[in-house]
Amino acid sequence: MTTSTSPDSAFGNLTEESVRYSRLSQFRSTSEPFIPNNPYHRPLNPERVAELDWSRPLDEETFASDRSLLANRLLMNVYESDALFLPAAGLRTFEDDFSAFYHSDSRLAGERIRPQMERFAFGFLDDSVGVSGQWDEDTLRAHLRHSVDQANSPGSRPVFDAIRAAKSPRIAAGTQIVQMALDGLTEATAMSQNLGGAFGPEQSELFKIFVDEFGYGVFPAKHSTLFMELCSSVGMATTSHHYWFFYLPSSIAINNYFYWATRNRTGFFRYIGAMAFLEATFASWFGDLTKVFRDVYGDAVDTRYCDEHAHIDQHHGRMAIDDLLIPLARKHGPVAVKGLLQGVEEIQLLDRLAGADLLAQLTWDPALSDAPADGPAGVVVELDSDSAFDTQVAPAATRLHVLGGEALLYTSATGDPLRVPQGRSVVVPAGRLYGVRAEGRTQLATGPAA
Amino acid sequence: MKGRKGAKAPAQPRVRAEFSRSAHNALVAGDDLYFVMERDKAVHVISSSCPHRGGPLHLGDVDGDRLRCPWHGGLFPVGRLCDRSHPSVRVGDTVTVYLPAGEHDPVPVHTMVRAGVDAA
Ligand code: FES
Ligand SMILES: [Fe+2]
Ligand SMILES: [Fe+2]
Repeated sequence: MTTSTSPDSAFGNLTEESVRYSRLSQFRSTSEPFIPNNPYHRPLNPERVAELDWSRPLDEETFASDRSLLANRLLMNVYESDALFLPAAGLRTFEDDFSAFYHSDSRLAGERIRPQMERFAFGFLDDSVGVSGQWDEDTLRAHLRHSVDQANSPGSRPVFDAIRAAKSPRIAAGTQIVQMALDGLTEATAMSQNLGGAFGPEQSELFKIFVDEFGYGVFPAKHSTLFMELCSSVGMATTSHHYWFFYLPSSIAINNYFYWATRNRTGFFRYIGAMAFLEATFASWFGDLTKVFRDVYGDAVDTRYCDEHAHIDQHHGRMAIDDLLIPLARKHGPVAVKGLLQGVEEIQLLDRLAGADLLAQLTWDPALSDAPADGPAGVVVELDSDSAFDTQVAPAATRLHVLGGEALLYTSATGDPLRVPQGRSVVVPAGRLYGVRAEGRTQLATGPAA
Repeated sequence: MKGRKGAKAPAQPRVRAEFSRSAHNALVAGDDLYFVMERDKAVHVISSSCPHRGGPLHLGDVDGDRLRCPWHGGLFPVGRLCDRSHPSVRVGDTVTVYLPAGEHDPVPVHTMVRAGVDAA
């Protein structure tokens, strides 16, 4: 048997199997830009998945690319079919999707492609981050302190500045909330993956943090419930994954990073490093976010989600470092130290990349322009009200030129889409997420923006 | 003495409970737990619920003269906890204590109490 070991055929299989996975009924397309109430319906686009070149793994450059979007959506569905979702409105109308999403065949199809997809999505981290040398406790602590201070230093929140300065701060703040929803609606699910097993006192320390995340068993105090209250207070949906199409590739990737690190038990130290770093920076980050939301939404916004983190993560930061990270490093030696530091560094790197992605999306203000004089170039597609909706990341600056009818350009989940009438066009900058819909027969030319 | 001066706030209704110093180290009333701490030969009955987030103080460690809440590490001087303990008297092995009245009557138990140990 040689075929299964040659890299080419391995990728061949991956193409075939990822396309098969994305054809499962729960991943079918829809003409709507939002997914109401159905936690299992997560459109994947088999035609686009088929085009994905798996032989070129993601790297820092392509972390927020269209290939990243496709691969991370696939991975996200594999990971999340490991967690239980039940529709808030009851299961009655979603029984088929419920069975399909959790069917052993679906799960198996996902598991078969998971390891290769993980290497595709996160393999570059091994090149990007290196840890070496003898680390003692003092140096480890000093390094953590420095990293946390740097993350919280003045001027370190360009996204918050951009939300305040946006033409519509509410739309911009909505975009921020949508990205947070990936984690917020299922908060601490990745954390829950290492509550079992037997790993000494650190297991109990992790559980203490988990208990806080779950509001001590009190539903209204659970962090994910507080997140839902935040959403409702500003008129946003609270169900998974209403905003499926509007998660940026980098946001999904970071969420997946935590699943990757917790699903693979050897990633445990990496997970603790990344988690401890985030917990240690959250109190300050959420404190600032409360102020942003107050400025943007006024009194109406329910900021208890942010306030809770501004308070409890002062404790979690300390607990995760003093009671988890340091004792694990002490007890388990170089392997642990290396993993912990990888996590600390990787999450900072990914956070920087994701911050740049979100900032570019927030500050993009699409404008209508006249069609270029030398006529339309590119591929012409016909759209109608029942055409499948999808969002994608523009690989290069792309001009959308409406030849007939009217196109609706979606660039964020909140606010109205931009209406592009016949004869007008709009340029999507490289790297930006967008989707196009039509309410009636529309011809759209898509080509490079000269 | 508490509750004597001025237009006094209505006193908290309390319920009487008895337990054996040698056989019991806590009392349970519904969801509330009260634990016994011995200090300078005196028996103190203390509410276990941490004022921060309700952490189980009876499972905390005593470090010097402070009790450390096991959840987020809140530190509480043992002296202060004892000063604010529930009213009780001891005769020989029998302790009588007056606990806040609630839906459930307190039941003396022997359970895991870490904070009661070694409290100097
Ligand atoms: S619950 Fe006791 S310190 Fe938080
Ligand atoms: Fe949380
Ligand atoms: Fe936390």
